[in-house]
Amino acid sequence: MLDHVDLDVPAGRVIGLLGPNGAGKTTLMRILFGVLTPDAGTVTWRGAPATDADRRSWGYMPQERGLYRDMRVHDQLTWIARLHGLDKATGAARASALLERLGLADRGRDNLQDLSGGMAQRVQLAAAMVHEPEVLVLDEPFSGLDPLAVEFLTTVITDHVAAGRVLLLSTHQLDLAENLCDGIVLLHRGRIVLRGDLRALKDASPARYLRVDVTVDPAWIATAGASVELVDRSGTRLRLAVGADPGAVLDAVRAHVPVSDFGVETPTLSELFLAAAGEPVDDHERAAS
Amino acid sequence: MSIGDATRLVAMRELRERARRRSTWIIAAVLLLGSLAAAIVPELVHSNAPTRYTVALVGDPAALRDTLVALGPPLEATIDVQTVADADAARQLVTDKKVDIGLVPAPGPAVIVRAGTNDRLVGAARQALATAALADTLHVDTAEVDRITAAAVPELRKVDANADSRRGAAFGVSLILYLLLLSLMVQVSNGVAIEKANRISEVLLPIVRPGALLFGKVIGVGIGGTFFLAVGMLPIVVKLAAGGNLPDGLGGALVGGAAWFVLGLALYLTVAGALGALVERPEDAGSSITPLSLVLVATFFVAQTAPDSPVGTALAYVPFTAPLLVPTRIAVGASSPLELVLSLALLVATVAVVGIAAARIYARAVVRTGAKVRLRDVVGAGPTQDASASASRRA
Repeated sequence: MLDHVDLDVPAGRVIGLLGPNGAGKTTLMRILFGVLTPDAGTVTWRGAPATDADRRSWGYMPQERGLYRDMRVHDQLTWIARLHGLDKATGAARASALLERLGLADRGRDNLQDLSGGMAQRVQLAAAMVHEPEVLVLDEPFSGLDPLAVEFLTTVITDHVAAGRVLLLSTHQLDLAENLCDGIVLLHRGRIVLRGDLRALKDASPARYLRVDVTVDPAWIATAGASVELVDRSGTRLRLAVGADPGAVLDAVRAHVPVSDFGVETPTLSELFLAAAGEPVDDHERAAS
Repeated sequence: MSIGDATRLVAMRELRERARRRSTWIIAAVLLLGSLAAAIVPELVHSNAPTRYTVALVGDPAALRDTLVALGPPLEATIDVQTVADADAARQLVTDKKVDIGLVPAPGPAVIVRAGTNDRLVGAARQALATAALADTLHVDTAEVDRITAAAVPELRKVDANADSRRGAAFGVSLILYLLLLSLMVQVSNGVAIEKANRISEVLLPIVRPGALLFGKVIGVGIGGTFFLAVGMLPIVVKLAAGGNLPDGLGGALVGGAAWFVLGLALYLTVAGALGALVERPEDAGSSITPLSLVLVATFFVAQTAPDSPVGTALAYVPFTAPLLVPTRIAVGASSPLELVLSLALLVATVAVVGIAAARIYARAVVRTGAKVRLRDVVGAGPTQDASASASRRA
């Protein structure tokens, strides 16, 4: 269930819709594409309510992959291109070009079920892109991908936005999103708890972390009286109390063990999320800040 | 893209993929072989094994012997005459099944026959004996007798001469429609269930309107099934066309019943598609159409046994039973023009209403995954309620 979710996806930027499983990411995407109808609210595209024709011009890769398993890969892509309104020759040419780009040029005549999971995933991506959509929406595109495939998909995504087009992706893998997304929208239990430019959000957060190259024991750091709120599981990342002096904390650590490398860092996306999920923020306040 | 174009593309995909499947061609080949056999085997049996009768004739009256041999062609048989000494010898041969019948011209002409056999031959032989006896009494030759008696033979006026042939045609028509509807219904509901389970619908729904997906599948499966049936039945059709030996009522049933056939396919397959969208697993698609199958089986039963009964007449107006019954009633000659017009009007209206309802059910049910969708969950509920229910299920 979604509650007053307001989302703006500008062109030329990778926007990540983030949140744990069940946050409402898929529901939101289904509403964008008209698969579900919301109780209230609108989807607008270029300043006007999105029409069916608009939606058909977009590209959507759902979380649960869906293509005909007993249909030839090239036939299937061509058919989907034609459903988007392309003529047969153009559709076939697009399908061939995409398969070439995705490294599947020699598998076009195979049935989808004869391809490996990773290859099938690439075909699914091709199905979302075969009509060269202005808007590309990818629901959990990274799930089940090996690191090479993640790297490849990242390239496809950055190419898409580099051409000035719109891209929205969802993921619950915050570390992946951290490297890829320019802007984020954090959903939790159907509500937006955090949104904005990722770098600005990090800078705006009052939380600071001290990273050291040694293992810190939470027990002695507590007795030392340093302003540390939390030591992470690895023992190398210390969350400082708001307003604490990193230098003083570093000195307290040095009193126990020698430190050769250290740094003061902004929160990671996961840490931002955990901080925000505890206290849902008002949309308008956050948008204004 | 208009809904018509999208429907055409969906239907074309169904046809193309069906043509790619090996099972399609195997079924068509089996049908083809079956109908080829049905067309050719009777010819072979007929020409290879002409009927041959042997008649034991007591004495050797040459005129009667010639008459007997001449009886052959009208009976589509060859008649051999074996001369024996007396009636006892003839009786023995008949008893031992050495000959088919025995003929005793005199005294008191008699035919010896094993009870219940060779009725046509016996009839012809009695006629020949009677003619011979009459000729003998009048002292004229048998040809003269034939000339006189032929003038007095009453004309035979048959009532409903082709009843059997019509029944046969009705049986064939209703059987073919029944089997075709049943198998194509399974294909549609199964296809929809697979698209739902494999989340193909989720990819297609943002691109294609639900109605185009459902109707495209119905049209594709319907045309494909009919085409392959036609290919399979080609030898019989060719034979009928070439020989001109159409069973009475078959041509009328096929031509006149075509509208009910097409609309029946549309009605049953559309409902089957909506029912297939309700199930969670493709394995359950078959059982989802059980209500339709039951209606079809009952209708088939009536069409086979009593298409011209009051029940059959009443069911000819019911849209779900008319597609099977009306062509059968046309074949047996039981339908009236008024009945045809009314039945067709009701059927067309039902197809339109059911089509809209089925597309709505399909659109709502096919995106609801996770459990079997109950019909009452998707009938009547507004799209708003539906979306939130579905959304909460996923969230």
